[in-house]
Amino acid sequence: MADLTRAPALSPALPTALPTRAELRRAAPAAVSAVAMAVMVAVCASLQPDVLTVPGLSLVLSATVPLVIAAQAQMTLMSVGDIDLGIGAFVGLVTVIAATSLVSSPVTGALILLGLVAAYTVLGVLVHLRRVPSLIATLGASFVWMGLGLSVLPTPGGTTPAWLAAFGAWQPAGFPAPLLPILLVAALVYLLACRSGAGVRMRALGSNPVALQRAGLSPLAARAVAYTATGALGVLSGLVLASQTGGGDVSSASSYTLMTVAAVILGGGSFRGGAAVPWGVAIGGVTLGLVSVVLSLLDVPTALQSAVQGVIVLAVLAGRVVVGKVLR
Amino acid sequence: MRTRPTPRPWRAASVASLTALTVLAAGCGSGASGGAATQDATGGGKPFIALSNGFIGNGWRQTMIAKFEAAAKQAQSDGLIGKYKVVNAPGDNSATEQVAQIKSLLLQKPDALLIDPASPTALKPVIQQACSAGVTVVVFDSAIDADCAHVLQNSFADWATYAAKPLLDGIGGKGEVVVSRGVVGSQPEAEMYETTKKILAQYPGVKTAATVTGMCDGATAQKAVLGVLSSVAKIDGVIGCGDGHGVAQAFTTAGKPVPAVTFETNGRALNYWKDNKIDNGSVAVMSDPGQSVAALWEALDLLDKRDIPKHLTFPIVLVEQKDRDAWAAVLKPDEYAAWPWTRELFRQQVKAVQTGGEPVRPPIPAAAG
Repeated sequence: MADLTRAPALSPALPTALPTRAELRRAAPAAVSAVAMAVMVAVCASLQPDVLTVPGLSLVLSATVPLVIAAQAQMTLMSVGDIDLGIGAFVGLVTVIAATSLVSSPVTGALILLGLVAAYTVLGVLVHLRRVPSLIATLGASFVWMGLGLSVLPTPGGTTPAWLAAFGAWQPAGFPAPLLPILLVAALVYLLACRSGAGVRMRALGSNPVALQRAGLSPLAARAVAYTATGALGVLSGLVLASQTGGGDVSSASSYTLMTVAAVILGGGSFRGGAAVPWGVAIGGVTLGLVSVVLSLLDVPTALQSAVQGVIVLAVLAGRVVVGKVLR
Repeated sequence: MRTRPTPRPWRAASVASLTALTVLAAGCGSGASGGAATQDATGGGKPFIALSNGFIGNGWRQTMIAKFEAAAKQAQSDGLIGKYKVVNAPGDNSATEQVAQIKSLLLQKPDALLIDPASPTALKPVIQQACSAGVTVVVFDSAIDADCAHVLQNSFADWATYAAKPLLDGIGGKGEVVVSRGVVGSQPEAEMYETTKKILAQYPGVKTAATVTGMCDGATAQKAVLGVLSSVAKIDGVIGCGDGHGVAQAFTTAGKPVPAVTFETNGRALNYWKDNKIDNGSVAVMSDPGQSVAALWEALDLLDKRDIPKHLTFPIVLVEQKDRDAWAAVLKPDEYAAWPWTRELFRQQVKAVQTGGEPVRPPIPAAAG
């Protein structure tokens, strides 16, 4: 499985000829994460050979899917140089809508979800026009999402629509089901952020907004597109999470806010913006998710688990920094 | 931009592999040093019992896990089970984390899975998954809406009854009381509050001076009660859910005599109750951390294909004044009183549930004399 996801990670940076130094440098962080991921899969497989079977891989990967999609959302915002501190609460709010309105009247539910995406667009426009730091704006928004979620569903509960539950329980025979949404979403984000004009403008906004303006293009539009894509990916992440938990809980994803940032950094993104690394983020997210599986298989005591998890993340990050230095 | 004269890609590669090794070492190192929870299977064919706990951050849950580990170790040396494993979800009662942990537990193919759930709903799909993988699932401490799982829990109505009745009788059935509610918004709390109101209605001489939200937590209850103390003249009792130590301290802080309260069933609260010679109808009542042990016996009996009802209600832990000193002598400060379930007692209680008879009264600690 490691090879499956590793190859596309490198492919954007690996053209037909030998890779140039710059391309190597761009691919290196994701490669470090990929190595870490491969090692973790190998450790898991040596402890529990069933990990490498299709049902085993499904079990291991399924819990990481919503995190990976939320990390793609975070990556989209980080590519324009912003950070989203509201994504965890937003994903939680989507699970709440999925467990309430989407069941009682699907049309209203779908409209509410569209409205949430539009709210993200508005947030982006506000951030741009009022020059509010995105950190503050999205943090403020996170309390709004949290409050809305609590007022719709004060205690965790509800049921998800049948089609969503069916998706959560889907177990095809030939390949691990969770791989499909991970690869599909990464491919979509890749097309948007790395292969489209809108993507070029988003990354330009992140690396050099003045140049973007001088070129006669609208920074506002670029930011609005990035925020809209983030909102849409957040909705997707929430729907997948709801399909796994079978209900809504506004605080179910609160740990995602910072985990997604870590996943983006592990995958080769940067706080400065200008970089879009969808395949790297997919690898980074899966790596983060796998850490807890490895620790559980290794019987690390719970009290130590968070600490060991942190050390592993730091080790991978350190590897990334060192590789970056060497290749500079 | 700075560039170096010669490219050294091999260095990148070596660093990457070094990092990988570090990761591996970090994982293995801690695994080797601290992997105490699992014992390797010695006898083939003996069942493998796994326990998933949604939250480990309070003394009750820690007692629950300690009791389970002691019982499982004993069962292992008695040859009843092959091996056991306990996993506690990290974080703050997060259902998402617990779902992920149960999934990695399922990889290890346990015969039975015991679950103290973080959420009454969110674990439904993963429990369904476990059942279809042929695992016997016993959920304890909380009800769950999954048809294939067996549920073992304490009665919240009993909890509220034992918290209120002895206390109201203790103050002579008249006077002013404060009601300290638990986690308002949760389903068990709603049931407990209903019961409390019903019981209060049976005591026309008792007036409810105030209702506060104590969250079943001593520190929160202390603040909440302190807030209302100045506005009421005399309080004879505080009906709570295991937050009496904090409530008593609120009264001490305000310079008022400690009324009848419902204490926690841990060593600290019981010793406080004993040392301060509080003798006014106070009781200590909480759910039973020994449920994890009862769930172990239930799982073993289910694996033996014995007939057990889908839903079992087990007795709550009530410490009255006459038993207080016996419990206080054996409990550590943060250890909660737990019924010592044996396989025999468990089967008696199952029979009591099946026939609707009197619940079993497990023995209180032997240090009574």
